[in-house]
Amino acid sequence: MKVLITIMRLELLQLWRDGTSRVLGLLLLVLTVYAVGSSTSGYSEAEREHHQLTETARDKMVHQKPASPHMAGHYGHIAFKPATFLQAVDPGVNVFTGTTVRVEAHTQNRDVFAPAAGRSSLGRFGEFSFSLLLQVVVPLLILFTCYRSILADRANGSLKILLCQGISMRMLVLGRASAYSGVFVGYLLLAAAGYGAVFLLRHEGAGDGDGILLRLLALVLLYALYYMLLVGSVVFASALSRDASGLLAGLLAVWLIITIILPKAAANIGEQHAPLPTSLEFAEGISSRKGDGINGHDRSNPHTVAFIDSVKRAYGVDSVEALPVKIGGLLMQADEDYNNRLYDEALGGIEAIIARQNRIGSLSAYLNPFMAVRNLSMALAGTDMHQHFHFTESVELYRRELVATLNAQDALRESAYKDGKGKLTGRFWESSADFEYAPPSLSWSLGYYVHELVALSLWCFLVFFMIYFLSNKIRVS
Amino acid sequence: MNSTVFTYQFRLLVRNRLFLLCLLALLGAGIYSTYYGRHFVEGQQRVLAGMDSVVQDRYESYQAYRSGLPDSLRSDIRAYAGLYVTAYAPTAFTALAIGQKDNYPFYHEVNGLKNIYEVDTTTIKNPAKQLAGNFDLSFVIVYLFPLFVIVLGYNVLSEEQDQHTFSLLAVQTDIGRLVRSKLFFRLLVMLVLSLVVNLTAFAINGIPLRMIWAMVSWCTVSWLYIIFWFSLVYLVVMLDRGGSVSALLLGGLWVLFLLVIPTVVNRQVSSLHVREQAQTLFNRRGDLPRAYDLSEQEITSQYANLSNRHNLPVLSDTSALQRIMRKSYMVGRIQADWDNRLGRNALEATFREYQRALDYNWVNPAFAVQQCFNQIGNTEIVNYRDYMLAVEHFENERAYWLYRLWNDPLFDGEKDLTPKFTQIESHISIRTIRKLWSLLFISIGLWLIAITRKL
Repeated sequence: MKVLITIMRLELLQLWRDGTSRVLGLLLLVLTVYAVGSSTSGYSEAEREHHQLTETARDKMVHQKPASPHMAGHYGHIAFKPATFLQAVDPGVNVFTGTTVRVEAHTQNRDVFAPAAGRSSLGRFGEFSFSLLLQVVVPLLILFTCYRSILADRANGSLKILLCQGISMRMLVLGRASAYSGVFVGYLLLAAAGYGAVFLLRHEGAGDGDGILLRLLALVLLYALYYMLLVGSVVFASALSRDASGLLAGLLAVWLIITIILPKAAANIGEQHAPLPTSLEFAEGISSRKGDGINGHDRSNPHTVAFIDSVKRAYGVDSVEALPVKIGGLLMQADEDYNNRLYDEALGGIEAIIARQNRIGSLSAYLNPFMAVRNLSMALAGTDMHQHFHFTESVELYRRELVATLNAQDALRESAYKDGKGKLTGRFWESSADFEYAPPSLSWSLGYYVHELVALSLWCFLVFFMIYFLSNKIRVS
Repeated sequence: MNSTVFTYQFRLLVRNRLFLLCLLALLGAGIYSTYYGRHFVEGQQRVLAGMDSVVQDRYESYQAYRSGLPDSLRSDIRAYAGLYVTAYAPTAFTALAIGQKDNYPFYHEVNGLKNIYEVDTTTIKNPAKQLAGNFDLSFVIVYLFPLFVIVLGYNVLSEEQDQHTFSLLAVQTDIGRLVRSKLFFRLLVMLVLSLVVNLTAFAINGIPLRMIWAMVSWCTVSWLYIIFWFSLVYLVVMLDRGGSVSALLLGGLWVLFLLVIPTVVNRQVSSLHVREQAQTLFNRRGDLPRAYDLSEQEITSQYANLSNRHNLPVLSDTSALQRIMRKSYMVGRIQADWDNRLGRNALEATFREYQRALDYNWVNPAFAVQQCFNQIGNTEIVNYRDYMLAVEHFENERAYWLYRLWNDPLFDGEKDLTPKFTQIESHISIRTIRKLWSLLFISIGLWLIAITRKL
């Protein structure tokens, strides 16, 4: 152990004395400060906009013109996707997902106004975020700082001297890898402390209701594992190699393949493996089936007639006028229930295809640990596809409750919330709940990423196995 | 000396299997990207063909409906309103630079009643796929070509030192000149490779010869970009810090120019537009003022102030129906103007961001080149904006035509459903690549600095 600590200490000292490392460290620090500052201010702006828009929409809902419950259902409401603090760390797919959903009767509107939708192609280069540093830039720095860690000793002849002194190759690889890992994990902790401090300052006294700090810690753990894996692999490769330029070129090629080429290739293969229907096919699929069920707006529709007859039979009356409730409200709810089934099936199909497409990326984590880290990072930050679906499903639940309440009011012949003309008063809207999004738990988020968790564990095991069992077999001369 | 260096460099190149493998891999990536782009274009073309059959079906059902009407009602053309679809169709070059084409709506139903800026998404997309991006030819050129340039050039000097031939060469010739000749040969290899890849892509996509200027523009942009990267390599090599440090520096520059600067510029110029966009939703459900609430006098004065108004013909009779139709038309145009202004404001805001981003081109070569490719491919925001403005204009013309058809018994415009929307082609001009002059100047500057360094 003492030897290990000595190797680590000497390596850190050498790293500190190296001018290039200091320049790179300084550059990383500047980029990190910029990333933390700009991403948290971007989050604040998004949060402010969200609050203002939510208040405006609420104000318009509460102070809308008196209308019948049915017309109020058509008027509906507008739900906005809230900004989450961890999107400042990893914006994930947020830039490509809609931020706004119009909530209205009869239709499940899709989310609209994705930030990237109306922008120029500059947006396709990505958002400058802390995750860009963590996933792309820091791994590159790891390659540059670690690739000569043992190779340099071999080149200048000091490797033999070290081994003659009784240090095993395994100890040397472990010591050097631990030293570099310590540096990068230290960097992670420092950045996480920065984010944590900003979060606590901005949410003073609000506690950690959404588990933000826990997720932040999980992110630190994830990237720490990834960096240890990378450092271990590069130091091991450094011990194996005899050609500095060849090793660097090879490592750069691997970095390019795992961070740029494979994620793109996996997404493209996924798209071709399970193609999505066009909007036209989707709309036609829904409209063609609408005729097979009840239509609340068409009293001559055979399904509508059958429904009205069943209601009359249930109440034992001959005409709809004799019913204690208004048939219009019941019809609208039956129409809603039928439409909900149609949309559930159609949208469920879309989500299933997207899940099949993304599965290729998940499975590629067994070949490419970067994919595991990228997907888990989005999951922990709450900016992945699953959390977006969670948001749209929450909006849909809210829509169904709102429309059901309105239809119930429509069915009542008399209500404390209706005026003499049967129109809803402001009291109804003041008492109705607004849409509030409750993000899922950490375990829910991780539940979708079993492949990534298993793959990352396997990769860690593989690198540890390589270092522990194969290091001593590396030939020195 | 050049011919001697070229001869030996060529021999070395042919003997280096790894190098040839890299060349082949790059060629393969170029060809794959062409097929990928073509697949994307065919997808959009399929949707547009589907829309054409929808329009045809609607027209046939309209004709069936109309034939059942008594003669006095035959002029009911309301159903015409929903019969026209404008297309932001992919061009021959779209397959090579998909740009933002997968993010913009690419068709609009123009019926004079629906706000063109309120169109819902025209394709169902997987955001995770969009995050990964497209593997088109512009990606290969912008991201992969520079890496290959680095691999080709980082060790032109250090390989001589590693092989211990440096001292030998130093006594025989000017090392600086030798480095230039070696780099020049490798530059030629890259230029030829890019030409082969580009010409293959043009051929696979069936780009017609009449688009020769666009082809020349595309190749010029590729070459300027390659020259820029060779200039960087030349400067770094002339710093004479050894192969590893050169590779490290060039790798760092690749990250800087491809990942850091574009994303930092993006953050600096972009802002959220949720508020402007949300206004269109509030408007859609009737929260904002409506034109039909205006008084007769206000309608007349507001219509007179419209920049795109048509001078309405004198009424052939002054019956109540004719006057109602005229009022409805004017109200519709005023409302369309209000609606379009909201959507246009949001589009103009993002367009201004794009223009601000162009101001950073002198430090942001990757975007400078990418947006040039996209303009050639008709897939940049500038092209989408042109299309939307054209749709707006067309919508106004069509609404007027429908009004005349309904209102004027002497108007004979029904036969071929005129007016027609014409596809907006990308305007390839010297302005498209003008913004790349900065790239050329920087390249020249880098060469000049490098050339003055003594080895």
